[in-house]
Amino acid sequence: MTEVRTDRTLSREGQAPSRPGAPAGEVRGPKWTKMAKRDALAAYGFLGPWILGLLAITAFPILASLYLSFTNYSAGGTPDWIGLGNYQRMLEDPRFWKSLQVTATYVLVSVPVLLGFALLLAVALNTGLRLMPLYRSAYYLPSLLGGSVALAVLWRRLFAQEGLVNDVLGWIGVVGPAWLSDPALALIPLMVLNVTTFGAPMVIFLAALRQVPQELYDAAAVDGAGAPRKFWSITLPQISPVVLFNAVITLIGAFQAFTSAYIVSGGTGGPVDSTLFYTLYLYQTGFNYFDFGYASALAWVLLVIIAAVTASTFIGSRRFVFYGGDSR
Amino acid sequence: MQLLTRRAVTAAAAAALLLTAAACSNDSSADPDPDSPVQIRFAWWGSGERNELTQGVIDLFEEANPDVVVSGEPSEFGAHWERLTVQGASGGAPCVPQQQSRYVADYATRNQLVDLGPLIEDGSIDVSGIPELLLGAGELDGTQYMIPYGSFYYTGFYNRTLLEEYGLPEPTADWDWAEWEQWLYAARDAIPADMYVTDLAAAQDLTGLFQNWVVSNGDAIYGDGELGFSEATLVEWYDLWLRFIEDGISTTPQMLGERGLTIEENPLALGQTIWWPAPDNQLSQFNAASAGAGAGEIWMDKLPNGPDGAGEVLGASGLSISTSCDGDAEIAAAARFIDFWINDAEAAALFASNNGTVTTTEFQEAQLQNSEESPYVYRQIELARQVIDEFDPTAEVTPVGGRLPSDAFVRFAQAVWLGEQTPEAAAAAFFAEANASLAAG
Repeated sequence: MTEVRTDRTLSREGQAPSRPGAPAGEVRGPKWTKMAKRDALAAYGFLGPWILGLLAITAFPILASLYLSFTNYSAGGTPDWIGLGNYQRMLEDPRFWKSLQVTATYVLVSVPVLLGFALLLAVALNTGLRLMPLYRSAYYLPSLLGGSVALAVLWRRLFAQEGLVNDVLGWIGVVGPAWLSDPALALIPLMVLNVTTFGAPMVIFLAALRQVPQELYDAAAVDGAGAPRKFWSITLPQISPVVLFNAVITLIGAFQAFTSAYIVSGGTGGPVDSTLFYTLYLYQTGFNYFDFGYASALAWVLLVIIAAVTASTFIGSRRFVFYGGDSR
Repeated sequence: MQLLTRRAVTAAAAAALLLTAAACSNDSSADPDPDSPVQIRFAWWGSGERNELTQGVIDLFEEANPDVVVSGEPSEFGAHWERLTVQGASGGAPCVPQQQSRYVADYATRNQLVDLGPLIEDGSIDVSGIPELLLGAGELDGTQYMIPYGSFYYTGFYNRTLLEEYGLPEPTADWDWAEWEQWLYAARDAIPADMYVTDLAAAQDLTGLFQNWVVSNGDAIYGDGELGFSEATLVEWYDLWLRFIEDGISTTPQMLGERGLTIEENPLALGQTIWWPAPDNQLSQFNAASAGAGAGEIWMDKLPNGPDGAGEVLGASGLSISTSCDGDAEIAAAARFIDFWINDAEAAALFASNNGTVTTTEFQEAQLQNSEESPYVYRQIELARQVIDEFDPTAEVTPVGGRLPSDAFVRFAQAVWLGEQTPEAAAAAFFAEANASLAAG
């Protein structure tokens, strides 16, 4: 293994026409090789701690969880190999399906709303408002707090039957429902909480909006295009790669949502599993019920789902995303 | 010069790698210095006052045993178990984990706890002061995995101040379930319309009020690898509480979803209800909370009796030794720590039954004699002794796989209260899920 690395480094070094510090016209010789070797050694020496970390803290647990997903392992004794048993069990597990349904609803509703909201604000902020840095910081703030325990606790208070949300509804004559107790509504506060984390995508949208060439708008204006027309025909196609980027990042984040449901429901995913996020079910299975084999299988299925959704987003995006230089 | 720099860079890189490798390696291979103190880790759950008292006991132990250093690892109740699960799986559990009868089987059957029998036999841990009955709360299939130091069981808490204000009689130790129900209805008629007699959460604890109701009626919560009561019993329980909701005895399912889970947020402590089933060792905390809310004094008595007796089931918190505790010196030190905890008079007086009534009979006496003891600790010990002496309780360990039934019990009860499932359908689904978990172990 070491040999291969050194050879590769050497050949690359050998091809380099000139190197800083090397006397001009020096011919490649044994000294070169020695120095190159030492360079490579130093590089891998510095990389070493990181590589060890990657192998021990990331790669090994990932592979171990793949192995455990084919076993019956309850955090004691040795894992029993059961083949696809855990994966078959999912098919008949009502809570698995329920958690998938809850997560899918959460993703399908909150991600588009979040992206739309972030884009809307970015467009508004891009119109040259005064005190823009202040607004930008203020709108970004919830993104920093969005996944935090404190905000989830606050949410519990806001959406209580006698909380602020229902007070505001009361002003317009609406009797507020029991947001947190009614299984039909309990997911809504969590979706709203997710939407408040629009800050990061908003800032990215804003950066992209600034890159759209002004002359395109000028040309459109000459042709008599109004604001909506400019938005649909210039702004959106021009920033479409960034829309895709934000969509993918937000999608993955939404699939992995955990803290809000854990805190708001007290770790249960209640009432009656109405906020049982997939990750929460996975967590309960492993850390409450010691079913680490099944929990590992659940984790791998989530990985496959996220990979598939991301891939299909990319494939589907080909028709909509405009990269500079395309003929479209 | 160039070369020197390179050499230095290479050396620095090698040093970085070595340092990392050294940091990752386990230094247990190094020869221990025979004169250096033995280090053991002790993990417990608790907050505020309990942490201070526990640290006080550790300090007393270290004073008496200068050759042992105990490093404490406190955490909140839920986090304690999650941490133990992960640490146990990776062989890094603390030497002395605090355990509880509701959880100990899950860890014992996964080879994470040491059989304490030999340490009791050779006199390292002296349990002669603890009654046989209470030792049962740390015993699984004849093996002692935990030494119980504080016992608890479910009692009925009530707001004494409000009962007096509304002219209601206080519950007594000899009342039965029919009298309890009559009392609930009488209380409903006496209290203001915006108050409730009790809280619907009372009906959702598998090993709380429901357990007393089941056991005093002749069944058990757990049988052999399955539930010990029938679906019909559970349907009857659901129907009883649906009636309580309808009749305004209990809080509504909507209120339940918003209710905080801490003692400070409990409707009884806030003066919003007047009766609530709780473990006896929470009396002091409830009074601290109700005093903070200006809600009056909380007192307690036994839960009602049934045709088959009092149905009292004792649980206990205690100390275990984990299998991660390697080395004879560490195990010996852990045993000395446990022995000190249950047998040292000064430590027991300091801890003052903070996590369940002290199990050593002699120290119960001492705390009852202590005129400076809080009236709530006094009541706790007094009632516990009455229950043990007069009401023939049992002590048991929740079987392995029992955690899922506890959680599922809450889930299906809520489905019934909210009208998502009929009592019959919920009972059937609960039995299927709980029995599968208990059978799998």
